[in-house]
Amino acid sequence: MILKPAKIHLLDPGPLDPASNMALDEVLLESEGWWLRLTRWDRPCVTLGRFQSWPQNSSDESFPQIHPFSSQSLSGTQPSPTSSPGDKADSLPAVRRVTGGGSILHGEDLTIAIAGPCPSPHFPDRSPGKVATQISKVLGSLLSPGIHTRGGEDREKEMVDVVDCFQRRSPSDLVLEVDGETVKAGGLALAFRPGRVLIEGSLHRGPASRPVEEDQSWMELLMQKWLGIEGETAEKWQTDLTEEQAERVSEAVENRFGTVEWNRR
Amino acid sequence: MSEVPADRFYLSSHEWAQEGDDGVVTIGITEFAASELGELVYIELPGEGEDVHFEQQFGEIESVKAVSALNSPISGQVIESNASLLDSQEPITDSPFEEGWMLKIKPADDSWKDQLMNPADYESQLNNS
Repeated sequence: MILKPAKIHLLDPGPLDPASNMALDEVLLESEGWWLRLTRWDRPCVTLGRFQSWPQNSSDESFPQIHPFSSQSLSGTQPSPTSSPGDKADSLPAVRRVTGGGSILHGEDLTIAIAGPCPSPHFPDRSPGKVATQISKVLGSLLSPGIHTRGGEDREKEMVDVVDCFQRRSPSDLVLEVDGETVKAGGLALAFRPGRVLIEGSLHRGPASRPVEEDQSWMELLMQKWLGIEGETAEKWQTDLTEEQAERVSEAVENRFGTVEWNRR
Repeated sequence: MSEVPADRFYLSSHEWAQEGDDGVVTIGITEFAASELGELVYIELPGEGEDVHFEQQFGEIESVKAVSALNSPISGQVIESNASLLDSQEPITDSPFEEGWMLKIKPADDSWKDQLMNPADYESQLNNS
């Protein structure tokens, strides 16, 4: 059976500040139809899981070290509206996601978001674990050879106090073997609202090397392989949001994603 | 097959509501929902005195890196929140219809049952899903 939604929005709005990026993902979660989004960052930053405690040491150099493949210099990063006034000037901006899971350092990862109806023909089961594993298998098949889904038992409870998403273990993780060790190469976080799901994914550019300039073509490949649609049935790279969506992003930044109350808890 | 107690009413998004002798309505999520969510790690519930609205989000629950909205099967005012769930969510999984209750609500009106599914209809929904 070939599943072909009438339309999918492929969105690449370009580099945005952390709060706007997370606000936009929530707007897509609450929009109608399918959205496949390339998330670009205008500065290195950290995103926190919806219920994570604010890390005690977020303003020192710990975050640049939590990403196993990160090599990007973070010096000179400017504080953002999402940082508290008490943060050091060289701290990374941090913003809270609407999805669960742990902290992720962004800047040189490949970040994507998928939003769509759930349950639906593409996600017939609303179970978070099954949805995550389903999309993880698709992503793994499109990345470098050797990357696969971790599988195994859910151990989420054991991972609650592990700050870094890439140090956590979940069945839906994308992993590969490096020198005999299993290394996490990608992770997913999800949010469900009535009839909708948002999946945010962060994929390493390290062992699963994929140049930035290939991101758009990779997204089109994802659309083709996963959704089985291409060309005429796709609304290609709709780079502009509707006016109403853009307004909702601005409101969400002002009222939540750009506020200390939302980001520090 | 998930249990569907006959002494309460249901929302299609898998929340239940049960009326007590004093007219206070207790709400929670069903056994089916709890089993689908998997291992739970966080929950956020409204406090006493807050208003909840029919089919509107009243809280959130996290499991398996996924945050899910909790929708209220009834409109009214929260008179008690199950604070013990903030420390341990296991009762939601182990006893979703008893120890895993989430809120006790004073209904905004007496017609709240009219908007919900009876046990037979909810069971039918589960069988068809």
